[in-house]
Amino acid sequence: MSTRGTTETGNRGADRTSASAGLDQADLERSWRLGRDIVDAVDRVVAGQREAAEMAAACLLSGGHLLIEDIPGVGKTLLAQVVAAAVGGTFHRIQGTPDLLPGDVTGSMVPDHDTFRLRFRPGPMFANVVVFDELNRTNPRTQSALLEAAEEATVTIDGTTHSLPDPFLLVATQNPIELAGTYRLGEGALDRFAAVVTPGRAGFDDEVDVLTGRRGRKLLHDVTAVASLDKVIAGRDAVDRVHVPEPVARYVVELLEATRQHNRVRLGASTRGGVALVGLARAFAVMRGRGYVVPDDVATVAVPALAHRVLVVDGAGSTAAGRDVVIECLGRVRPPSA
Amino acid sequence: MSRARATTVGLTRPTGLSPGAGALVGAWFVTLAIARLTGAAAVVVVLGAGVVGLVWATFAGWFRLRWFQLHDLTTVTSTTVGEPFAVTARCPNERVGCSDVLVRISDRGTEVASGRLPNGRFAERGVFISRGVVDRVRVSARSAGRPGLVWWERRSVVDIEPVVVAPRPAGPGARIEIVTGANGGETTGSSGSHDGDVDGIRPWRDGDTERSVHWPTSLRTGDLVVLDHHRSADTRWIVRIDGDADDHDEQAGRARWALDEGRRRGVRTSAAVGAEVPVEIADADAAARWTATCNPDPSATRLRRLPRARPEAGLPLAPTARWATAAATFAALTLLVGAIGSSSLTIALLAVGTAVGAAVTARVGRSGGELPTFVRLIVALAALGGVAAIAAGSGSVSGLLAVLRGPLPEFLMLLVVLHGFECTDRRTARVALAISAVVASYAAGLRVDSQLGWWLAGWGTCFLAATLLTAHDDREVLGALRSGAGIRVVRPSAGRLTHSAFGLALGVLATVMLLSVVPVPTGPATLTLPAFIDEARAVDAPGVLARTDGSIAERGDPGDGTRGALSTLGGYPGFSESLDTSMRGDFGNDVVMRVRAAEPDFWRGQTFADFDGRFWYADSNLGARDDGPNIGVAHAVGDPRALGVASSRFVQTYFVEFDQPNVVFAAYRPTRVIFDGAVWRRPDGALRSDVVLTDGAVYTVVSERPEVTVESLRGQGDVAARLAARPPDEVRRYTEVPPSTTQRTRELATALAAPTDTTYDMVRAFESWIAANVVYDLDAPTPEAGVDAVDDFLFSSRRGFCEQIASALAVMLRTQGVPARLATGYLPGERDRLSGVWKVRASDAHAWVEVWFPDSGWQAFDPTADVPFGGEVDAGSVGGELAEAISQAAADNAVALTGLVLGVAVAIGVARAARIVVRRRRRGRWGLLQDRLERAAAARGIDTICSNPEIARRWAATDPRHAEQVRDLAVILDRVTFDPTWTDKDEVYETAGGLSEQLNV
Repeated sequence: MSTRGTTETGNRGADRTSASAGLDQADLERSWRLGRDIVDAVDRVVAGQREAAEMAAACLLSGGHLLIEDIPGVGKTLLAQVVAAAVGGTFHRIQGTPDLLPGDVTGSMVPDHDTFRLRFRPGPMFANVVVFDELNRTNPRTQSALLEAAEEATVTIDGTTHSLPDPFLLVATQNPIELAGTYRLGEGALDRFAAVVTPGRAGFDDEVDVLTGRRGRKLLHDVTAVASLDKVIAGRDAVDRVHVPEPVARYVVELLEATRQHNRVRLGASTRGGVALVGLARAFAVMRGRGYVVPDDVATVAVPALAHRVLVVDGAGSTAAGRDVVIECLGRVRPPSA
Repeated sequence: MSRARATTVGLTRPTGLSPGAGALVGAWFVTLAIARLTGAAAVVVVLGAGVVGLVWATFAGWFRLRWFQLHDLTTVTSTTVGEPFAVTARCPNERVGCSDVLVRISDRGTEVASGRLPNGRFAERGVFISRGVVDRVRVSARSAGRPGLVWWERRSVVDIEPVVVAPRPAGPGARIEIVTGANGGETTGSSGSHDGDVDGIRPWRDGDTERSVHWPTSLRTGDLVVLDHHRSADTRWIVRIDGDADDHDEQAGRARWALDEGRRRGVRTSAAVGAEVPVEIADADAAARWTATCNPDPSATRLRRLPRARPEAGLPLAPTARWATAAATFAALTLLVGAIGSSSLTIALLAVGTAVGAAVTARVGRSGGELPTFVRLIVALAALGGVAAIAAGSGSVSGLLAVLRGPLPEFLMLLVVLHGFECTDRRTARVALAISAVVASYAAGLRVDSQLGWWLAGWGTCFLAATLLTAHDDREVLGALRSGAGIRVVRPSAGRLTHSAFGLALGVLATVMLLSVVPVPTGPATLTLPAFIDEARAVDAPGVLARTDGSIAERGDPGDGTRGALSTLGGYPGFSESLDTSMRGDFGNDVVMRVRAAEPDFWRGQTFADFDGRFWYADSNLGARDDGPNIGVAHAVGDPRALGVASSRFVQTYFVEFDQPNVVFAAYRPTRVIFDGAVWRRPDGALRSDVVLTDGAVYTVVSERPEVTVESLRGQGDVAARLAARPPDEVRRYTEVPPSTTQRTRELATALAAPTDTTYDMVRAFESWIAANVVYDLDAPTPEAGVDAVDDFLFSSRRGFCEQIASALAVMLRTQGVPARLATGYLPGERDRLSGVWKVRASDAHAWVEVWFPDSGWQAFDPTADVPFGGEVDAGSVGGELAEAISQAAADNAVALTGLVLGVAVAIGVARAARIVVRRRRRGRWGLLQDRLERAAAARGIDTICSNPEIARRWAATDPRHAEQVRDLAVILDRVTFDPTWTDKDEVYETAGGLSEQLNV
């Protein structure tokens, strides 16, 4: 997978020919290619999770974190592993259990036998891509420690601050069906995720592919890095420079306002939700080869970015109700147009 | 979210009148009184339109509700007493026009939410004011339709998804039992606990007691350190509510506060009523639900009757409605001014007064304030001044009609203008409209001119517009539209205009049909009313026939032989003591009088008994004087004592518009005259007044008209034979033939009479001979002196006008022994359909023959004009005449009306074109392309509230053929709109335009 190459032709051609003032054509081209390569890499291995893969790539490019809410066995962990492998970064996986302690995740001070001093031993958080399986099974203390660390990209132990690797992508999963013995994620915890996706089961053909070995975990070893970490950082910078037109920004605020005024909603989306929404929309604009955000980018990421941030009256701990609310709000607010 | 499940719909029933609606009904009855008083057909038209309008106003609301539906009533699932939440619903059949419908949702006798449905969406803030779990609400829909006068209501009980209405947390004060147990986990670190095992030490916190201070450590460190204890984690708060306390709601509120507080402190909470087993309360929702239903207040759960809301209470009057009301008022006032003949200064004053009143009150109505004091002062002064002026001017007024035409309407106009300054709300606006209706009817009763129809139509249009605008609260609806999220303003479409035009046409049709069963009024109910002479010009010798200036025309005055105009000759020569048959005036086409009568007749003024071959002479007996105003007319010569045929009362009111001699016109046979003066009854039946009938004079005649028909006349057989069988009386005088009558005249008459059996047929035979052999010619030559004029006319010149023709017929009849005489007067004239008057012109002056019939008296015959036989003419219906008036007006003013319609069409076209241009300028060319794309998508049933690529995706799902074009167009449009580096290129626009063309829009 090369990051260079001739200009692609296709349906997106017209879409991709310009760049914004802050983003030159070459940067845009590179970032678009990066996103496409990551998604392609994931799609080659994980069957039928292209949308989740796009969202993961968008989170990586916008510096957010992803929560995958789905039943077990649909390839959540594999997806994260492929993303890590594709960007050539390190990968750690944490299994959420009730007895997991913050130190187990962030790392702790251990005695060094050579120097007879306490030495910081980094926890599993110190990787480019961290998969936290079954986040809602671990206790709130660990949850909040983890999420705070992820948000700040730093870990502070005994007064010493340790930076997490850059880029850092946290992919957490939770099972919305099996709720016995879980610690429900609070609103604050959920708000720290840029996006929540529920990819669902793969399609019929995709499942056949998995069973026959054409796709699946076996191919993980074949994944080669399509980019370097530096390229990911450069891509993230490019995403930051994507132009957000004034009408689109207003559209986002109108959407947030609509969720706040929805009659089923107890607490509407926060401003942080709007920031995450715009970040994801920027990443999507780049991944679609554009140097500017159009309303469709916002509409595409609105559900993953806002569904977990609206507190629905009878939501029962799942984001499904929030999803319905955001879809309803999208149907109410008229996007800007020519 | 809570949605409606099932609905029980009640009956639609009337619920009240809008404020001021009663005034309109009252105005209808006043109009009815005016119609009875004046017998004016135009007022009956107003009455009929009023009936149609009131019926429409009554049932419009019922119709509106008949088709009204409310779907998807949505509320919250959980709320707190007094806390607002969103209530939404929608009306699926938006086209029916549900913006007129007021919806009120109530729960147990208190209103939850109420409002209208602009564009078919109900979106209001609702609030419950009593706690409980609400699973059914009462929904009432009320409407008065477009006219907004009679409100109808339909109630229904709607089952909704249960809504938990929790009490408002009422602060501390609930009874809380704290239960601790050690059967679960443990916790440390809470202050103030002394039981349990010692777990360690910790710094002092608020709430610790000195009992737990660990003094050795405290002394060593210098800070207070206390022993930390294990504490049972299983602390429970049991909130108990007293089962028989007075204020249940207060208790529930306190309980809710306590439960919330417990959870805030991290203890498990339970709740119980009295000594019941406590129920575990896990979270806020459970607390809300428990406190909503615990210990119900028996008085709150009963479904109470909602207090009846007064329709339209507190709704403002839109300035447009105020101005439309002013326009209706001014139209009515102008109608009245035209009726009483005031000056144009009066019109100007009225216009200024009405406009100032409207401007002041429109401003006050908008701000909801009161009329400023200085304005009140000015109005009061104007009122006093006006009353004083009217009082000063009314000193010389005498007679009821004079009052009705002078001070009363002036006073009425003053009151109407002053009322304009009071007109700040809907009630007063409707009262003002009602007053304008009364004023318009008053004027329509007095006016007889041909402009009346147009003025009434103008006033009616203003009235209708004002009524509709008064009921319509545009500002409120617009305000609701702006505040409601996601609702777009829909402008009234061309379809609605067509709807209104169709409704108006239907209303006119209904009015015409209703009035087609109403006969033309036969006359005013109170006969003393219409008699009025503006400028009494006394006749020099009372009882004698006078000229228009009051001077006496000498008997046998031959005139100067010229055919002068009406003014120079002093009237038609027939209205004198003698008539030269060879003379005829040239009168022009001026309207000399208007006669309000249901049916046509000859308006007879004078009869002539004696003929000398050229001149006719009236009976010289002046008769007896009778003083007005109510004069019974006795039998005259030839009138049968008892009519042999049926008769009917026939009322005519004469409105003189051109100075006439003192001849009182009347249809045969007058029995009563209402006249403002004295009248001489001559033996021959002619009536003369003691004053000249000047312009503006009004009087009324009641005739007992024999309902003769051809059959009844023919049935009276040979009049000459029957006369011969009677004892000699005065009628025989009318069979005297002048000595100059030639033999050939007699022979002609005898020859023509020979084949006929009855006198009627004989007259017809004479008439047809004359019609066949004689030419009607106003320029007939004057016969030479000494020649018998009849002979000359019949055999020599064979040219003549009505006097000569009538004289010939009379002489021919007399030769056969049939009593006949010459009568002069006016033809019925032209009918003005709307005001129900006969327009009589100077050229309608006429002479005809009256033939005596023993059973029915004098009967007019005329070889040159159709004689309306009393038994054969029928008064039409008001509706029929209205329809004819409308069609005639349309035909007469076809050019103007076509021009008007074209003008309006052009104006609408220009307005639309202007709108398109403005829109083009505002939207730009890309905006128009965007609109085109959205229209194309909407035409395929795609919801276009989504981004352009989403439109393309939805399009691809429904219509894969053009999917690519739509996708490309969407990409181009988005790029044009949002790409900061985009520069507009014509070729791209052409490409996009070509794509949009392919979408087949």
